[in-house]
Amino acid sequence: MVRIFVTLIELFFCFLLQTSLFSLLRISGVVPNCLLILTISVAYTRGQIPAMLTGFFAGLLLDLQFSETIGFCCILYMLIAFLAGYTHRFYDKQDFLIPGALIVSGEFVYSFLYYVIFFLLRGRLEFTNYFVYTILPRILYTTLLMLVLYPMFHGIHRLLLKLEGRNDD
Amino acid sequence: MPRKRRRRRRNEKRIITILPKHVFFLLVFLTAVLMFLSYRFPTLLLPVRNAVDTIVLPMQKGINVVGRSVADRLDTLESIEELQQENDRLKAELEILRQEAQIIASEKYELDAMRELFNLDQKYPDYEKVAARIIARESNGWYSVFTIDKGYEDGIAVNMNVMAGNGLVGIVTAVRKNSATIRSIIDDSSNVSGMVLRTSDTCIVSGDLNLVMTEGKIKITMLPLDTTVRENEEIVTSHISDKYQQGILIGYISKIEEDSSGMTKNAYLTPVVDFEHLDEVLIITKLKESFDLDE
Repeated sequence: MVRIFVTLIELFFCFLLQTSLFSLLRISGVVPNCLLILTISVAYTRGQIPAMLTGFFAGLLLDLQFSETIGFCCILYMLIAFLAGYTHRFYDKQDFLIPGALIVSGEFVYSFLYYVIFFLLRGRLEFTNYFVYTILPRILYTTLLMLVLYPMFHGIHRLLLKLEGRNDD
Repeated sequence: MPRKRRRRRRNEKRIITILPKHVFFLLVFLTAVLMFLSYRFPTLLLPVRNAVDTIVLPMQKGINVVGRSVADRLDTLESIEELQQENDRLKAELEILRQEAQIIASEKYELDAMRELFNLDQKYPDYEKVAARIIARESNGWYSVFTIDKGYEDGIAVNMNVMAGNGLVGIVTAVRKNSATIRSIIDDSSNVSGMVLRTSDTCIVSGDLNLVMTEGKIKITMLPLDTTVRENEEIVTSHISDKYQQGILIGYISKIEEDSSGMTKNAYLTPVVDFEHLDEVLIITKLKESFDLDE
C-alpha cells in the first residue's frame, strides 16, 4: 500500500519535472525523459509487472494532457518496461551499468518507435537528421539525468524494503 | 494421499501465478480499448482529463514560476554580450523604422480618408483577445504542443487562434475545464493557409521538425508559379482559411524556389514568434465563421 502510494508520488514528480521544469531548461530543444527513467528503475529493481503498471500510468498521464488519442505513449512505455523487466533477475544493488545501458537503449527504442509511428508513416524520411538533432541529444540528456534520478529511486526502493522488514537480497 | 495433495498444490500454484506476459497483454488490450474510445468519442474522457488537471495544474504553475526565474537567470548570464550586440543593431534598425513609421503614418491619414470615401471596413480588424500563460510543454521532443492555463470556463474553445506579440503562434486543439492544448505552427503536423501580404498569393505554411531543427525555419508550399514575391516579405494568414482569422502575421519568406513538379513554388518561412522563449500567449476569442456547405 505504502509502495503504491510512493510510486504514485514518484510518477507525478517525474511528470512535473518533465513537462514543466525541464521544458524550461531544454538543451538543444529536447527534454529528458524522466518518466522513462522511473519506469526503467522500477523494471530493474522490482521486475516486469510493477514496471508495466508504472509505464502504463506514465504514458496515460502524458497522453491525457497532451494528445487527443490516448494510448500511444502507454504502449511505448509498457513495451519498454516489459522488455527491461527481464533484467530484474540480474539485479544487484551496486550495479549501475545495467540500468545505464537500459536507459540508453530504452530511450533509443522509444524515440525510434515514435519516429516510425508519427513521422516515417507520414513520409518524413530524413532519419539521420532526426537522429542527430532529436534522438541523440535526448538520449544524452536522459542518461545524464539518470545519474541523478536512479540513485534517488533506488534509495527510496531500499528504504521501503527496510520499512517492510524484508531482507535486501 | 500424498500424491493427491501434491497435485492440488500444483493446481493451486498454477491458479495463483500471474505471468508478466499476461499482465502485458491485458494492459495492451486495455490501451487498445482506450485508444478506440478516445478516438471515437473525444469528449468521453473529458472528466478524467479534468481530474488530472486539478491535481497537476497548480503544481505545474508553481514549478513554472520557479523554473522560469532560474531559466531567465541562466539566459541572462550567457547572453549579456549577445544582448549588447543586438542592442546596437536594434538601435540602428530603430532609426530606420522611425523614419518609415513617419512616412506610413502620413500615408495612413490618406488611406483613412480614402476608406471613408469608399465606406470600407478596416481590412484587419483588431480581434478581441484573452491572455494566457504556458504551463507545460509536450516533452517528447517531436511535437510542438503545449498547455495553457485557461480552459472552457474562461471562454476558450477549440479552433481559436493563438498569437504572441503580433505573430501567429498556433491554434487551440483541445479544451478542458481550466486548461487547453495548443498546437504551434512549427509543429510537424501543422498546416496553415497563408498569403503573401503584398501580392495576395495564397500558399500553405507547414511545420517541419527537420527544418526547425536544422535551420530554425518552416516550410511554404503551393505558391503560384507566377508569383512576384521577394525574400523577406510578410506572410499572413489568408482569407480562404477556414480556421485562421485573416491577416495575422506568420513570418517572413526566404529561399524561394520552384517545386520539383514544376507547377508551384516552395520557400522557407522564418516565424516572427520566438518559440524558444514563449511564455505568455494571446488567444483570439472570436472564431472564424465557417459556412455550412449544405446551405
